[in-house]
Amino acid sequence: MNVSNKRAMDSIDAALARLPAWEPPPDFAVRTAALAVPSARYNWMAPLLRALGMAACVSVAAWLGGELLFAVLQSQATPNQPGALDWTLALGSVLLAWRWVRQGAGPRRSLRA
Amino acid sequence: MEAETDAELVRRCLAEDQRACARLVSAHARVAGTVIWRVVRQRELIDDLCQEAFLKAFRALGSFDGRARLSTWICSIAHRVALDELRRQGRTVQFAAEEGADEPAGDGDALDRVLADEEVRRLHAALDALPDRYRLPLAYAALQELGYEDIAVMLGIPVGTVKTLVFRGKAMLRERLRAGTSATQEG
Repeated sequence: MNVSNKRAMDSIDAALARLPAWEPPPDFAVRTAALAVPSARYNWMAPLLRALGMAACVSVAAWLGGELLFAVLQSQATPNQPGALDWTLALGSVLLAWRWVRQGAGPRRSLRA
Repeated sequence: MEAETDAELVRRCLAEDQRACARLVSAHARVAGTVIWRVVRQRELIDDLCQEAFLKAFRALGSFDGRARLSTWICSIAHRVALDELRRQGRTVQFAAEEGADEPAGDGDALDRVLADEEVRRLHAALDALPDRYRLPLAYAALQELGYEDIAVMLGIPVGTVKTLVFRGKAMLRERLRAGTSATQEG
């Protein structure tokens, strides 16, 4: 490379070095980190909702279980009183609801892949 | 910052330490945002795209194996996010500096500054007209934070190829600038 070529390349390097760079806004890092890791202020909310949902499901399931047992022990059903099949369906619905609550209110997304 | 290694910072981020995450973003946002800017050329999109790149980086942080530098790894993600954005817009890779975004030219007098700015503008226009495969390696090589090895990782090509593309890109730029100058003088 001769001297004029070298000078031309140097001037191109100098001009390329002057290409503007992006300067992030002052709050960019904090904003992005807050999105990546939800604020600890609300960390108790998800477990609380999950616990409340589970407690409700367990209570209703226990009550329905008791009713089911009672219905089974109380011989046949009458037209006005639900029989064992109805209570079984109701209990199944509650168990499904519990499963849904557990899946829906699972732990928040982790940073781990 | 220097006392805290990449590995330590990554470990703390994986433990969902929000301050560590902010430090990681703060350390690499400028170069990641500039990479995105040089691909998409739309300044108003950089904030969102850069944030998207960091969120993707945080989600994939568990797979960071330390073979490349953390900054290189993040720039690779930023590069891919920018290319995805171009694809979303139905655009091909383009690159040019924005008008009026030049920095002060230095200690020269006003005329020198005007001439220098004019040269830089011409160079930017010539750079914009380069074929895609030369444009980005050259634009990335102009970033102090990125070496040839980093660019090779980002673009997924060998280091030797990056050097060749940058060298040929500069030669093409020089030819185009020379041709532009001749046309101006003849006109």
